[in-house]
Amino acid sequence: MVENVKAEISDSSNRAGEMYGWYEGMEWNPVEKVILERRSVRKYKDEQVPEKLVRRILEAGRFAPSAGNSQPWRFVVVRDGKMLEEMERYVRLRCRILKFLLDWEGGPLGRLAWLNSQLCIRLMPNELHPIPYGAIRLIAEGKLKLFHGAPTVILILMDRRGVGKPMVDVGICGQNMVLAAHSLGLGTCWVGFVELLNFGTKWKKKLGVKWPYRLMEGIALGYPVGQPDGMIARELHEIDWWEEGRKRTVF
Amino acid sequence: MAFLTLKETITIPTYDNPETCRAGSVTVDREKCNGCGNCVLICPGACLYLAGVGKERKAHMVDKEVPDCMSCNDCAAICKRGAIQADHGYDFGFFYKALHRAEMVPPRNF
Ligand SMILES: Cc1cc2nc3c(=O)[nH]c(=O)nc-3n(C[C@H](O)[C@H](O)[C@H](O)COP(=O)(O)O)c2cc1C
Ligand code: SF4
Ligand code: SF4
Repeated sequence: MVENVKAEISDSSNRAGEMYGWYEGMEWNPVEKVILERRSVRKYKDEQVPEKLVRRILEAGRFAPSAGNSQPWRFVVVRDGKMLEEMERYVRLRCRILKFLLDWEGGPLGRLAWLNSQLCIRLMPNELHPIPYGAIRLIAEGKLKLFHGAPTVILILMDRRGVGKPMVDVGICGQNMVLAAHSLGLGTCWVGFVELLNFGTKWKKKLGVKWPYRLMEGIALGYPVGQPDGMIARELHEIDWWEEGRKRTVF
Repeated sequence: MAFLTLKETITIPTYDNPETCRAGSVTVDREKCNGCGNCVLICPGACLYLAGVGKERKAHMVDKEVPDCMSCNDCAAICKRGAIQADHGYDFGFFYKALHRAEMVPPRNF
């Protein structure tokens, strides 16, 4: 039986891209292709995504694995252009305030902003990592959009009472939806900056963000302009590999 | 072996200091680039722009010592002419020093 399978699989010529098997030199299968070609999409057509397509993508999220099957997520779908615009403005204003308090480069606070940022970065080293720090400035200046003109946004609220590490579960759930969306010909972009909608009562009230929920992430969804998906180069990571009592390093 | 020293761990880098920060950067192949502007449109770091007239219209990286480039290569993905590529990952040093990384390569199908 095993021999049969091997013989069959080694005939690689007409099995390109097939699922549920591997042989050396095999082309990417459709799942790998979607994973590797998925890129964050930051320019969308105005055309709305059919409701059924969004429902189908939400199903991919519903069946994500979660610690203790706790499913610590709640989805809020926003397809109202005016509402999305208002959310965008709200976040931009908050970025302006943050920029005012923290930007030592061009801000009016100058040296004080530098001291401020040194303290705040230590308190929130992830939120104020150089990349989001730069992005806050770009959003404040209108150079980086929040939803990039996407006609549909899926907001993910996290149930803070989830099992173990619910943030991980929410991430897995979102990526399930993202990959499903790309496999269906849509584009997506994670939008971590929806976090700033938590600052103030307006959107928390409107979106039902109250205990035990916290608004964690957004996923912009729509038809991309151009062909933003494709394989690209990324850094290799050093991997420790233990086998037979010895450690090797692989990349 | 890559590791963080105590000094690095407790030092927050100055984000715009080119002496200690290495931001992402891209190289544009001027032969291949036709100035379509797709990369400029989607760059999340707003660090690309078009300059030049007629056939000389090409994508360029903004002239900033520490641009907001995060080496995402989304510009490379949307450029179907293969005219733009990130050179290396970013590294802000000290507390944020990049660890256990090597050069950028495309997916390898082992
Ligand atoms: C949790 C999370 C939050 C993100 N938030 C944003 C965001 O607010 N704005 C944005 O333009 N991109 C955002 N991104 C997209 C990343 O910048 C992008 O995934 C990264 O640069 C890698 O590029 P790729 O997705 O094209 O492979 C986010 C990604 C993740 C995973
Ligand atoms: S680098 Fe590519 S995407 Fe950018 S302007 Fe040139 S041809 Fe267009
Ligand atoms: S790698 Fe990303 S951030 Fe850098 S120029 Fe290209 S699109 Fe912009």
